[in-house]
Amino acid sequence: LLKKAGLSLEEKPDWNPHLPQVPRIRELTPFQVDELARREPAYGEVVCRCEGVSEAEVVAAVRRGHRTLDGIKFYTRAQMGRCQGGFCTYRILRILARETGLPIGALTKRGPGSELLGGEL
Amino acid sequence: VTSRGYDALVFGGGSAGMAAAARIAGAGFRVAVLEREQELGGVLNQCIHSGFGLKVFREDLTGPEYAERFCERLAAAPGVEVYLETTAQEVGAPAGGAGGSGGRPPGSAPQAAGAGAPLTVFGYSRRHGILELSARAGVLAMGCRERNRGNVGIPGTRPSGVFTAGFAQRLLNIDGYLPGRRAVIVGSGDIGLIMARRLTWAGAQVLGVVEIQSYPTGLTRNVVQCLNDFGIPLYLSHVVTRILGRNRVEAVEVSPLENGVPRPDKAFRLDCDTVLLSVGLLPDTELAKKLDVTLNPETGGPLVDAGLQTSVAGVFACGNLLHVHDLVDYVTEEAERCGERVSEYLAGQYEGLQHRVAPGANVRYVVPNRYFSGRDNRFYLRSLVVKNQARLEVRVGGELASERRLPHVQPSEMVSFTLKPADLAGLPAGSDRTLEVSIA
Repeated sequence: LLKKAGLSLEEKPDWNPHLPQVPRIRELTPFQVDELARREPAYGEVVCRCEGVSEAEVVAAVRRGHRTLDGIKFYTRAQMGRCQGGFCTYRILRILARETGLPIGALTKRGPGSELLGGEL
Repeated sequence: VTSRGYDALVFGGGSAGMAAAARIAGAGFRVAVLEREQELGGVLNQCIHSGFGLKVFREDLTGPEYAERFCERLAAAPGVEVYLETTAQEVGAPAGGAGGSGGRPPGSAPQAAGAGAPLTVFGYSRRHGILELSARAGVLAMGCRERNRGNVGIPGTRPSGVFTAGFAQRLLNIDGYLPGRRAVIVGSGDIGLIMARRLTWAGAQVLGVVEIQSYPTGLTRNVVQCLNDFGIPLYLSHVVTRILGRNRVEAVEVSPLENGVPRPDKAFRLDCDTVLLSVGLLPDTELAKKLDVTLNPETGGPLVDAGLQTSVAGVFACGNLLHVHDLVDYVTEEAERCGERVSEYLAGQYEGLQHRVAPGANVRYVVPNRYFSGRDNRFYLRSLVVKNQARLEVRVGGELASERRLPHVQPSEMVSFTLKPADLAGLPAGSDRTLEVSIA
């Protein structure tokens, strides 16, 4: 419709169809993780033990716009394993709060209305 | 990758790992403890209620106080190194063994970890980097994890507000956040009962505890102190047949169970914003599987011999990783014994002559799965039945070797007993020395 109305669609000259891959420690040997962790220590921090997800991968997910727990889950696999988030959710909440600047109470499972916490002590 | 060698590696710095490590170090061996969290103590740190240490210290302590005593013991023990915020993530090939070790680049042989170190594990840590730790023995003490909604299959929508009870306990007691304002607790396990009281104290309303069995699955003392004292209803033989709510939990539908079948036609609705699940614990055996340890389907933990050694030589197991305990006092007792056996193993004095142990009538499981004929054996078991005035019978090769009275048994209360060599003395020397434990 917009095209018929005269909208011109031009590809941006700097458009890159490929997002750079975020390295996933679950797919790497300890020696490869070691190399990554020397540059970015957050690759050494295992946030999700079940699926083997490092803090660096969660941070990368937040920086690419995944700001809910489900968003992090679908992007990184953290919370998707055998404990279903029993051990890692509080770690992810902290990383989300730190990276987005939102208070922990405002963080949601999948958007407004699905806030996780019921208040502070 | 930093390579280091020890006599023993202990995986997990909770109640089991700390007690085992202190014993091994006390025998003069070099021990490394790997702990994922920032502090030693494991789940004790979030158990701020009392009731810990009644058997071990004859005192009524809170979880953190109980943990602190063992932290102090570890700090005072020579030869213990504790790696906090470190996850044992990958298992390496035996040092010096055949085959590549986890994609090792050529020309980077590990530093010698002592001759014949059979166990190599890679620890990942922000603080310490990537560590390659080798030792002659290992203790699996990773504890357990909670069964969750997927494990019990509760139908309904998938809103926010469904928590496992232990996770909610952590949020409340360590981080200071309330999981919700109006809660229904599914399952009457101990953590759920404790959380019913804790939430009430924190100003939330607990509408009830829903238990599928006809009896509570937590300790009797917790039912009295956490539910009865607060007037929180316990719905026995009831089951949550639906979770309702789009974004956040709005209600649950609770159905009575008749002859083992849920009756949704007689269901009632509880309006709530939070559901806590306290539906049992499972040993967290991921690392055990990576080490190729054989597991016991009844306990979910490894099969172990009389000295708590798993099917992999030099790898031992204790605590909730081995089988889920009711009381931390039992964990400590078991882990200290495990530490002593590891020390014997390291000294080359491990007693290999053992016989089989099998669960008999009305017994779900017995740990360990082998016994020594020449020394004291401590057994832990769980009943399959609820019974008053029960009898515990120990048979060897079919002959009654020992018998004791149990005033009351139920699946949620662990039974323990010690079998002495004298109990086995009068038996005919048959070829079948299998020991069977049953409840009558």
